[in-house]
Amino acid sequence: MSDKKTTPKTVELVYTGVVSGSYWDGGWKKIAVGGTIEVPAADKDKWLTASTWELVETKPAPKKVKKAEPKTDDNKESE
Amino acid sequence: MAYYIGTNTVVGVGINADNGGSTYGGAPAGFDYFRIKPGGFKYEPKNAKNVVEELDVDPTMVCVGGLYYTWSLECVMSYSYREQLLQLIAGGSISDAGAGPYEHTVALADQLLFGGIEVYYTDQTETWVKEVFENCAVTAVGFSQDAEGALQLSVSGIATGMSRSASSFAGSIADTEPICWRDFGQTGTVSTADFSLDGVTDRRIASLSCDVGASISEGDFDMAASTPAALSFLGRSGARDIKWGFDIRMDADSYTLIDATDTVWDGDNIFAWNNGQAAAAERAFVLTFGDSYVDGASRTLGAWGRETRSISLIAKDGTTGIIDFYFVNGRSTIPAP
Repeated sequence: MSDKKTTPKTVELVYTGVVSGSYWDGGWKKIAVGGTIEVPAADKDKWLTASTWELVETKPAPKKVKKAEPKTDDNKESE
Repeated sequence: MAYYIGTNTVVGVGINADNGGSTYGGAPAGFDYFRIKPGGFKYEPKNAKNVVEELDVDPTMVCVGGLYYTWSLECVMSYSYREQLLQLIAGGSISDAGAGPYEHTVALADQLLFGGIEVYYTDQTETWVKEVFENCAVTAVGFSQDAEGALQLSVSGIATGMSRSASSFAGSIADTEPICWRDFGQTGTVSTADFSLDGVTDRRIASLSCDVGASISEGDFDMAASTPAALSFLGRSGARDIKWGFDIRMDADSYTLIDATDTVWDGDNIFAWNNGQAAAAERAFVLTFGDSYVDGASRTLGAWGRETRSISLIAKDGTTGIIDFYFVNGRSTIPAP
């Protein structure tokens, strides 16, 4: 099986400033507290040097679900 | 798209990381970006100099230390996102408290703290330029305000080097929370500091100013540079030169202040601002001065021909409480070096 890992092209950042602010996107755009933007993944570190942005942790893609096993007694292992 | 000329200038400040006591510390992180006043950032390249004196020739000025930079900026003081600028002259750490609004006290310490300054702007072709001033030490901070505006902040310092590159601004500018004249003298719920002069709270003033200096003369760092491009700032005494003052109408209050028999104001000397909002919306900024000497009281002609006095003071000696910077704002923590 080939180990194909796709690098996301963009990442999502959340604005954590305590008051609204502005960011540059070909012109000044206003952003509210808690607002999010998408930036190229390659530029992520540049944005994160500012104290007002944090990376939005994306949930990992769901793994292949193993075949459901019958529910066992929780204490079984410790016995 | 066309832009208004000059509106794209952004300045950022971050404190150098603590990397175990090396000369300047590590790379700065947690930059706070803000706008400045039009044309409010200036810098000059400088070269450290040594004077070589001999009996049979005129003294010769030789350049041995290498290049460094002086810089200065002017901006509107804000209740938030200026903490690191003041930390650079205070030298100590910032302690955080509260649960919203949050309190931040900038400690005065006898050490030299370095930071990084980033300046972004667009040139005449509307191309972004980024200038990075490395290992900046702040040598002076000034506050001023009168009834016509918000509290103004000026900061100047030196840097060991500067690099320039093409790099568009990535980050954000938090909106300024201006410290207006109407906020002066108000107390709040979290910040209960009262405006007072020599311990008396019922004064009225027309304007104020405060200057904090921490000079580094050229002789202090004109050594130990092995390459022209690298310069070692060897430190400074840690002493701060603190002056503050205000304009006050000529009345019984002003006579009392000027005629203090010992000319030492050993009561609470506090400039306090509060936006008057409740709970998490409260914002405050407090400048507290320790014991001070009256160092001038010139007469000026004020509005409507009324005489006023401009009283200036200098901080008395001491090791603690000479000056305190205190913020109440919405930031839970300030990036730590």
